Amino acid sequence: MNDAEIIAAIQVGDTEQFGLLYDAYFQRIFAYIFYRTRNRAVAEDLVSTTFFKAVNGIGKFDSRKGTFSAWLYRIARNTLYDHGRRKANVVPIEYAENVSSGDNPDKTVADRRLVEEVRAILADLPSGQREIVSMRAWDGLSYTEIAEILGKSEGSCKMAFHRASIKFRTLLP
Amino acid sequence: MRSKPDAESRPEFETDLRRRLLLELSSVKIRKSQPIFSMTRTFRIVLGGLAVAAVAAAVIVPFFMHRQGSGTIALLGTSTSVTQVGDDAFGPLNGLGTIDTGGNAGGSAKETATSPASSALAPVAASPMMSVMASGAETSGSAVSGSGTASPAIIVRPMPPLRFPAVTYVYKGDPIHQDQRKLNVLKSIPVALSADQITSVLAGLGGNAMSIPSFDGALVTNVTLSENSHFGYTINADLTAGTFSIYENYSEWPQDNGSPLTATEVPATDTIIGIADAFLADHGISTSTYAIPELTRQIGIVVPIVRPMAGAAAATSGSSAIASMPMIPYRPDSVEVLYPLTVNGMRVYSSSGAQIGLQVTVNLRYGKVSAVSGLAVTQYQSSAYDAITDSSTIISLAEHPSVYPIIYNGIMGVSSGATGATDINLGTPALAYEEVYQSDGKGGSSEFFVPAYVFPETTGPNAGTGSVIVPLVASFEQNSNGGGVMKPMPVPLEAPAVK
Repeated sequence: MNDAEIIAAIQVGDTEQFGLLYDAYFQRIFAYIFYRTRNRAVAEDLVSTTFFKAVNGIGKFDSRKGTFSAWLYRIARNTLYDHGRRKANVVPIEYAENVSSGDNPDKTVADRRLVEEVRAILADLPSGQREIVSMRAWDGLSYTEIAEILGKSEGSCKMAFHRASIKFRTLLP
Repeated sequence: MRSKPDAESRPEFETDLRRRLLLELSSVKIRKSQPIFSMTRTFRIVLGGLAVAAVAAAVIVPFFMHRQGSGTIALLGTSTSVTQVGDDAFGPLNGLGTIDTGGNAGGSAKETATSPASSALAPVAASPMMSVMASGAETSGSAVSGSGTASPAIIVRPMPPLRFPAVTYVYKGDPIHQDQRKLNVLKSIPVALSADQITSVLAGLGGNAMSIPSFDGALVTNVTLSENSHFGYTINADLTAGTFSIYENYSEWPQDNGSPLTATEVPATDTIIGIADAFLADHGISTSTYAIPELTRQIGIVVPIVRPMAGAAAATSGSSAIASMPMIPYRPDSVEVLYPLTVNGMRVYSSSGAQIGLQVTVNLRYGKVSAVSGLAVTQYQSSAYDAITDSSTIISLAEHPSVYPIIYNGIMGVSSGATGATDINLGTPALAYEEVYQSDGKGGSSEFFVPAYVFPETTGPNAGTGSVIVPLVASFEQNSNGGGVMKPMPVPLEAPAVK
């Protein structure tokens, strides 16, 4: 069953099917939020909020107007923005920093140096381009999904990522 | 891609969230246009004093959204409504006094000469609680038959005085950086339901809109419903404050005189929480604004049997006698599952360090929920107040809390026998809210959620569970009301210590 079929089943009362959606998207949403909050406890709270919002709104979701994936990511994005407005010390969503620098002993020294260099380049990118890059590279979203989540055209998302990748190739060894 | 951060979630969090989400969905009938009530039980409506008879045919506590005035009021825990108002809008919030942010809030951690911690043992007056024991030999009025069998008489003796070892808090956490000059204080706004909402609630409960034409204009302020069936419940709704409570209909529940539960009769923690989850789901009570549920007290901890001492020993210190008493495991008939409240992503604590939230009491003997409290329609106003930014002041407040003596969670009257103060280390704090009540000058009080640091106790008998709360708003002082008082455990009746 695809997402639209699952949602249709949920909307006629087969609520257990939501488990399929949860299993498919939990890790992706958790990663999306965790990358941008750098705090596991905060990420868990925001992930909970995101999925509860989805549960409470799934009765009104219309598959003809967009994909469930993009809808869920938009909820997560808005939840992050709401959290960022409340907490002055939360890293803004546009600045996708490396959340594990220094924490993971499995990372090699070279990897950690690379992380620092990537972070510096990301910091120089315009905020919208930065978000597209992180969603593409870290969240693994397609251009179609990114476009739908951000409300941009697919072409502009591809162009933004292409320009950023040129900059990375130029500046990284 | 090599720079991609590691983001592995905790399996238990993932599993628990899945369970809660499916429970949430199962209690809400999906409609594309509007949410719906959950109707699962039948109740008989009892209104003391009113000559109205109605038979309810639907579940308690309907779960729905209404619009009132300029905002949406979420009923029973689906979300919280917070309205921002101007700075210092609630007036001076002095609590019990003011904090001198110039650093005079307290001396060093080791200045115990003039503090309550200076005495190693703080003797407490003999508890007013009496123990009742049967004795055949200590009552002059007992009649001893020729066969030697004495008619037991009742002797009432005062409990031996309980002594609490003095403690000193020492901060051992990371450097503190609180640089927000203004922090938002929340004021709880009682939600008086409109006539339409009351009618809807009653209609949802009973299937028939309640109307009392002979009392034109009468406003329903409180509703009590009782389920007159085996293991039935009583529901009380305060419709002017928007609060609800559910508890066992005592006439329909067995009155226990059984022996304490054995270890095998106590369900596992997950089972207990599952019972609470299922009850809430069955009755359409959302837990979306609460954190992962937990038991408020550990089952199976060991506590001393406290008995009165005979003769001269009763008049002397009981500390060494208590320390040498036999221990029994603590297996209560009921335990409380707490769903910690979260507002703006932060948890809420009372001044004694206990988390605030939805409390579900589970009767372990019957495997059923016996009470639910903390249900309320939630609405807040938010106003910014000057915050304490000096880290040394914050740490000093943490090391000299106004709640004293220390509550030893679940452990009663144990004395370490030390003659000096015992250090309790505090860890790096987390930002949360402290629940504070302040008189409104009109005979009532208002509830506030004040931004505060929660310092965890990392050593001592409450390590991992205890905490010290420091409000970060300059005009508040730690609320000492109700703190530091040990609640004695029931004393089992048993054979006399001496014949």
